[in-house]
Amino acid sequence: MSEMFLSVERVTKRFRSAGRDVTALDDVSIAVERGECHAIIGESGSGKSTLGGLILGLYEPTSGLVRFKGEALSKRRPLRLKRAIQLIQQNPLSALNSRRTVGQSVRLALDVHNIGERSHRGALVAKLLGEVGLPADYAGRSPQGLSGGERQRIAIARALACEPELLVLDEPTSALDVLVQARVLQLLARIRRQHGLTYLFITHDLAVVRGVADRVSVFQKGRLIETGSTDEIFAAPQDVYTRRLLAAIPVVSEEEAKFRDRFRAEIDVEEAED
Amino acid sequence: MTFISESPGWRAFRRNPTALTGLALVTLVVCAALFADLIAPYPSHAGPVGDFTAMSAQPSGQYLLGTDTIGRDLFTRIIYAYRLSLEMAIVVLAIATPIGVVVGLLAGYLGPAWSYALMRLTDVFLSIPPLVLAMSITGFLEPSAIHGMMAITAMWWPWYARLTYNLTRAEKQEGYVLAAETVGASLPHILFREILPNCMPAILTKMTIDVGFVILIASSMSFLGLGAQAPTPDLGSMVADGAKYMPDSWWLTVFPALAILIVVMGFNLLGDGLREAADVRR
Amino acid sequence: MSVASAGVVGKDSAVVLGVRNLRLSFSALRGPVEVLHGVSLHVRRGEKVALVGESGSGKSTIARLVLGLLQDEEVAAIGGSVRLGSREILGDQTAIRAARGDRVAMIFQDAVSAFNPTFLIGDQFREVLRRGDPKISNSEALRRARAALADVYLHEPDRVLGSYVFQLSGGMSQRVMIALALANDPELLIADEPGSSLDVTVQARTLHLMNELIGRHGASVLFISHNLGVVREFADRVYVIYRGRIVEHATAAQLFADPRHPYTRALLAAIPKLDRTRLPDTPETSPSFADPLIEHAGCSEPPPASA
Repeated sequence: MSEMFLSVERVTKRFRSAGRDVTALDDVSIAVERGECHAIIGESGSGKSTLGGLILGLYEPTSGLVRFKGEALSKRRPLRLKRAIQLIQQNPLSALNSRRTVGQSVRLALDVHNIGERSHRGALVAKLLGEVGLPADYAGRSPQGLSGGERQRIAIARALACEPELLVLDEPTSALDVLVQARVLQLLARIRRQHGLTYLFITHDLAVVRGVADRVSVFQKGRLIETGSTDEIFAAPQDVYTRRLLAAIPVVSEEEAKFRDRFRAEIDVEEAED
Repeated sequence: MTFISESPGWRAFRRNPTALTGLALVTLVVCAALFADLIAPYPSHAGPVGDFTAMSAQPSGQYLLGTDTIGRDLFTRIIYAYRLSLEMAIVVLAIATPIGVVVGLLAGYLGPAWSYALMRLTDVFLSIPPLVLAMSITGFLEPSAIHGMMAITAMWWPWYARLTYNLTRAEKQEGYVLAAETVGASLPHILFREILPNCMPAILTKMTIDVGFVILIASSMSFLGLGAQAPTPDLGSMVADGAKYMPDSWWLTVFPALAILIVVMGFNLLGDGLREAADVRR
Repeated sequence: MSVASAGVVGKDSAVVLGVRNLRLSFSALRGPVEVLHGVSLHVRRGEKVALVGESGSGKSTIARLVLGLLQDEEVAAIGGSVRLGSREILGDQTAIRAARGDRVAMIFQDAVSAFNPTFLIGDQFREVLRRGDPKISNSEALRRARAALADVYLHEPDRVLGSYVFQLSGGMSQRVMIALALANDPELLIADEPGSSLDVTVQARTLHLMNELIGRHGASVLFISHNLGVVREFADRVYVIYRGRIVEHATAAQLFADPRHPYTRALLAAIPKLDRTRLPDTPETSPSFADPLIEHAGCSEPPPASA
């Protein structure tokens, strides 16, 4: 292993908000290998979305460095690096421009990065839509009137159009109904296999993590408090906060409840106050 | 709970009596201006020469709204004045809107330094009372319809800059803008293909209302002698000229003034109706 | 928070909320769109009943109908009956308004927007207490507001009462809303996705607290949720709703041990499980989801009340 695929090296990010400095990320280091699905777990205010934003180049770290295949990532980056790192957002309703057709939204990436012959791009869009399970005639439709699941599939097709290497998924299914979520998670897993993608999967849902992730990093209040393989974390979480997160999850079966209540035993759910 | 139907906005518009009134008035004025040559009973009266045998004639079957002091048909002159007013309004808005929209898009999308600089510039223009600015421009140059239009344009674009700035700031928070950025789209694409189309309904609504206001300002200026000069038919100067002959030749003032009222009200009601329709759609 | 006991309350205890064959359609350009196709459900005194379904199932529409909050929409037709106790309230705005905030209270998903941002929390408390007791004195209202906040473990009641809603955290405003909803000892509490916009740890605490307080106040609850896990921990009895139709009716214990309707089974299967490393692989829709209602043993609608 010569160099890490994605590495976050001692990154701190502070924002100025209402005249005060707020530390969103505090001296965080993470290493992500090519091809893995790395879950970033945390509640609101944990800094998990800030981490995604730094990798995408929405802001500059206050200190520390983000490297992608050995190359330092900053806010201003060449088109080639933008293309390699794509994002799937949480809210599929706002992620598509309702004044542009589905086809225009997907095709944008092809035009920007000059992918395929110009005359061939219509067919490429149809192929991308097919890959996410949508009929080709969706290209001519407006996103208005499409369901959340359909919109999220289109957003995935748009990201795939860039032929990326790393996908940052920021709560990609938490706005979806549970039956739709199951389909979209399956789709994301299939796409990762077929394209050999690396995922940074940002979520608050530990049950989803169990099914999708190879490794997990747990964040709380801007700090990385625990990292390990998914199996390790679920077998023996080291930090009390991780146990508390696991213990708080509502479950739907006796077996699942037994699994969870191992963590619950040591935690008084009421102990923490706002 | 939302339901998708063909166009709830249009349905709201159709059920809105004031909006329909506005549409009717605007259609009336626009048709009159477009087909002035066909409608006007005495097209030659748009120029300097009238019929000296019928000076200051009362409204009658022959002269629907009467004639002026040199015998020109008032109805004809109002129709041609509408044509001039609409032309002026269109030219003013066609120049002011793009300037304002581009300034607003840039100020709303770019970083705080840019938005500060551009919006303070806008504030400077907004802080000068419109008529004063217009008077000083036409004061430096010589009063004419063209200079009047320049003056109005100079004071009109900041309103579009401010409107577009606020719309852009809101749109910038939407996920589709972030998506275009992560895909690597260029600045012009993000501004004009992604954000601008979402601002257009509000901008078009404002333009509709502003047609009326531009005509009102232009008329005020020519009323003060700063706009179109004789013999061009202009509603503002017609009111001013007629005022000297009140109350004997009342029609010389009353009908041009009513003509201004109709056009300003028409565009205002129409614009309000469009705004409500756009709100329903949202 | 253990799994709620079977807790089928005796058949003889009074029905607090009775919804019978409720139909509702909205008018759209292409004609009326039916959203509720004859929904029947009931809540007995002291019972916690959940109505669970996905977005667009009509579950929140039912809550808004019961609270009389639909009059602004373009409702094409309403049919059926909604009774609070023995009183028919469907179409009777005065009856609904009289009941709201006193006999019936509501907890919303988004606590922050449920409060008026321009009034102090304390003023809103007094307003609500006055609806229950028009002659209440200011000092008595203050005393009861303090007690209500102490019940939800807010240790600085005076600071909260002197705050605006935007000065409180998400978890705190949820608790204040619970305190406010229970201030007049309502017979029926309608909770629409409570806490679902909060973090899991805060949500767990909020639900736990709600459960405890409801028990103490003896209120009945209609609990509307999309989250089967939350329903399992909270409800005695469950209705599963799919596209405007109740498809399964069971006690919580029956439903989670033995789900029978294809839709319920699909929902349960689709939830990612903590103890499974494989992702669920369920279809998004199936014609069998529209199968007729399945009622479990001991669960049925009471006979129509004679008013």
